[in-house]
Amino acid sequence: MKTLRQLLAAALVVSTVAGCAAKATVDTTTPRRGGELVIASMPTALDPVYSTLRSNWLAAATMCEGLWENDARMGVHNGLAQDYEYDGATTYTVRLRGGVTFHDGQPLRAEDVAASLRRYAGSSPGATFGKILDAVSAVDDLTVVIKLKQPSSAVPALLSTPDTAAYVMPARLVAGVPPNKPLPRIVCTGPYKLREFVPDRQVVLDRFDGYQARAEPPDGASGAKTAYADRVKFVPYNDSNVLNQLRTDAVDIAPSGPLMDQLPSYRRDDKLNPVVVPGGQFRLVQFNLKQGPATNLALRQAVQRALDPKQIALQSLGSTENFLDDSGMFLDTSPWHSTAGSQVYRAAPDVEGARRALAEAGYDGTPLRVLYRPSRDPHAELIRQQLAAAGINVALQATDETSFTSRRADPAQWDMFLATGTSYSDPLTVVFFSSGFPGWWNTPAKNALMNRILSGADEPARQAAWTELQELVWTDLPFVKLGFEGNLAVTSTRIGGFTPALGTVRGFYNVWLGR
Amino acid sequence: MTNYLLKRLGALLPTVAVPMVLLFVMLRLAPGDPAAAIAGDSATSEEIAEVRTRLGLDASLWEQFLTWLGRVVRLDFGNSLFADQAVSGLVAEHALVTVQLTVLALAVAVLIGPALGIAAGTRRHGLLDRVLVFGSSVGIALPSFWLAVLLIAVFGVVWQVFPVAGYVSFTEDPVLFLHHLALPAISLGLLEAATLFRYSRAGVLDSLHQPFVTTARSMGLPERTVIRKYVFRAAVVPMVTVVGLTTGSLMGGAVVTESIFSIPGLGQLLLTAVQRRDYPVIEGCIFFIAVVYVLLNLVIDLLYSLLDPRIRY
Repeated sequence: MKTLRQLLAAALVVSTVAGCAAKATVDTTTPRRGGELVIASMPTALDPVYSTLRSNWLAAATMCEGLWENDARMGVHNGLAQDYEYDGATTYTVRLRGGVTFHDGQPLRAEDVAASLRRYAGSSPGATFGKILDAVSAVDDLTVVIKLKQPSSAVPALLSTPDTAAYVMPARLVAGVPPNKPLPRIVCTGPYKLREFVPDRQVVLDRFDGYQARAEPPDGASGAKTAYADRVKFVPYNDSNVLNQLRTDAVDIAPSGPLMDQLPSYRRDDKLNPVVVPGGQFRLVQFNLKQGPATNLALRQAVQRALDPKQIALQSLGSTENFLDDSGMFLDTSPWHSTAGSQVYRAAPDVEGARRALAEAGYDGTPLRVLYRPSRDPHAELIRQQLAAAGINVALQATDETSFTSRRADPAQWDMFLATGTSYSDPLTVVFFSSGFPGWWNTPAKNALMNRILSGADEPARQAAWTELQELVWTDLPFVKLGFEGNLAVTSTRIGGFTPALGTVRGFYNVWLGR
Repeated sequence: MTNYLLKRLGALLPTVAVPMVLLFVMLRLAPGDPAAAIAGDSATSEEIAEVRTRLGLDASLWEQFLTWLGRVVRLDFGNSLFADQAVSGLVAEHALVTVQLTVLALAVAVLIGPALGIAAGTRRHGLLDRVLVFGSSVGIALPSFWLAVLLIAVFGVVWQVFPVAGYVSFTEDPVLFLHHLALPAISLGLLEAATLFRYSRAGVLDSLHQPFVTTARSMGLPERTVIRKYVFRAAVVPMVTVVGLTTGSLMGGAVVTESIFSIPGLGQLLLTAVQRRDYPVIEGCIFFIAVVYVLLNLVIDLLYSLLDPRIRY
C-alpha cells in the first residue's frame, strides 16, 4: 500500500512538472500553420439568417464574408466590396473584388450578392435593412446596385459582418429559400469551409485553400484573414467543465462561459490565458413602456436615481478594474460615442432624489416585477436592495433563458427586466431602439430621430440625430443603461493571435496554435 | 407464458400513452415556448409571434393535441424545431450513445458491486466487511456529479490519464471510444456498484441462514461450492430486479453525467430540448425512455422464471 502511495505521488509530481514544462516551452508569438483549433461552442443551426441567436453565428463568422466588415472596434470597412459609390439619395453601386471564389470553386458574382441580400432583407436579423430596401440587382458580373426606398448612408453599417448576418452565399443555394427555413448547407467565400455538421456533436471546418484574402492588415473581421489552423472544430461544452477542457488542451478557446468575477484566479492559473475585451458589454434595466407602473416617467426616474452603476459592476465583475463609468451607448473609441445626457447618469445614485421622484409618481408601494436570468444577472438581488433603499418594492422573478424571452414578449407579465447590451457598429443595429423590442419604446420623438439616423444621407446629419437620441435615452428613460464592463474569453496557453475584439461574434481565423 | 407475454405487451400501450398525453399537456402549459428560443435574444415580440404562427403554436390546445395525436399514433414525432431533423433519427442516434454509456457503467457496477457484496457477506463483521460497508455508504450518499467532478480533477486534469470531456464513436476509433467514456462510466457505475453491493451482501447474509444451505453444509460440501452453487444463486434473484432498476437509474443519471462530460447522448439531447422547449424532441425522448423502462421490466420478470424454477407465469 505504501509503495502504491509512493508511486501515485511520484506520478503526480512527474506529470505536474512535465505539464508545466510543456506549457513553458509553447511559443505562441510566431504565427504557425497547422493543427486543429477547438472552440467551446456548439451552434444549433449554421444558417445565421435563420435566427438572431448570436451563438449560432460563430461558425458562420469563420466561414463567411459580407460586403462590409467590422474591425476590432466595430468600425466598418470594405470586405467583399472592392469599393462603392453612394449617390447621396437612394442608390448604392457596389463593385465586388475580382477573383473571389466560393468554397465549391464557383466564382463570386453580383447575382450571388443580390440573392443573399434579398434573403437577408426578409429575415429577422435583416429587418431594418429590409425596411429601406427597394431592390437589389446585378448590373454585371461584379457590380451590384442597391436601390433604397429612402435616402440612407447607413447601408454599409447595416450590412457589416459579423455584427449582422448579411453574409454572401451562392444564388443557387439561397434563391427561393425563405429566411425562416435553414439552409441545408453553408457555402461561402471565407478562409474556412464546412466539412461536417453533426448537431449536438460537432461542427468541423477545413481550411479553404482557394481563399482570396484582402491585402490590408488584419483588424477584427476586416483586412487579411489567414487560416493558420488546418481545421477549426466547434464542440459542445459545459460551463462547469470548460476550464478543465482548456487546461488539458481538449479545447483551445472558450469565447463565453468563464465568469468575469473569477478573472484573478484565471490569471494565476498557468494553464489558462484570459482575454478581456475592455468595454465589451453593458448592463441595462429595461422598462415596460406599454403598460403598468413603469409607463410613468417619474417612476422610471426614481429607479434610475436609486441605482448605483459602480456597485452593480462591483457585484458582477468582482472589482471595478474592468468597469468603464460611461453613460454612452457606444464606447469612447467609437465615432458614435456621445456624452449627451450624461449629467443624468452622473447624478446617480441619489436616494433622496429617487424618493422625491417616487412621491411625484404617486407610487403606492406595488412591487415592480423584475424578470432576470440568475445565470446571467448576479446583480439582481443588489438591484432589489438599491431600489428598496429608495422605497421601491421589487418582486424578483427568476426565469430560465427560454421563459425569459417569451415572458418579456408579453407586456402583462413584467415591469422591468435585466438585460445585457454588446458593442454595435451603428445606432441602427442597437436592438433596444427597435420599437418592437420588449419595452416597446415607440414615441413620436424617438421614431423621428431613428428615422433621421436611418435616412440621413450623410454622416454628419446622422451623427447630429444620434446625439439627440442619446440625450433622449436619458430624459425619456426607456431603460437605464449602466456603465461598460469588460467581457471575457479564455484560451489555452498554446493559442496565439487571439486578440480582443468588440462584438458578440467573431471568426476564428488569424489564430494559431503555438509550437 | 405466451398469454402472460401478450398481456404484458398489451399493457405497454396505456403505460406509455398516459404519460405521453400528460407530457403533451404539461409542456404546452409550462412557461416559455420554442418560438422565443428560435427567434433569439434580440427578437422583437412580432418576430416571436411570427415564429409561433409558423410552428403552429398559436393554434388552440385542442387543435395542437389532435394534430399531435394523429402523428404519434403513427409513431411519427415530426422534426426537431431547431435541428430540422427527424426526431426518430435524432433519438436513435443519441440513444445509441446513452446505451453504450449505460452498458459500460452497468459493467462497472455489476463487476464490482456483487463481487464485493459476496466477499463482505461471507466475512460478516470482519475488517473487509466493515471497510466495504462504510465505502458503500459513502458511495450511495455521493451525488454522481460530485464524483464526476472529482474524477475529472484527478484523472483528467492532474494526471491527464483520461479526457475531461467529449465523445468519439466506436466505429471511428474503438480505443478512443473507451478512453473518452471511461470516466463517465466509472462515475456512473461506481455509485450503482455501491447499491448492488448492499443488496448482494444482504442477499448472501439471508441465504446463509436458509435451510438448504444448512443441508448442503451437512452433506459435507466444500464451503466454496456451498457459496457458489447455493448461496450466490439464491442471492442473485432479487439482485436481477435491482440490476434492472439500476439500468433505468443509470439512463436517468446519464442526463447529468452526459451534461458534465459533454457527451451527445439521450440525456444531453433531452436536457437541451427542455431548455429550448423543443416539444417534438422532448416527446420523442420520453417515449423512447418509457418504452425502454416497460420492456426492461418485462425482461426482468421473464428472467425470474429462468433463475428460479419456483416462479412460473
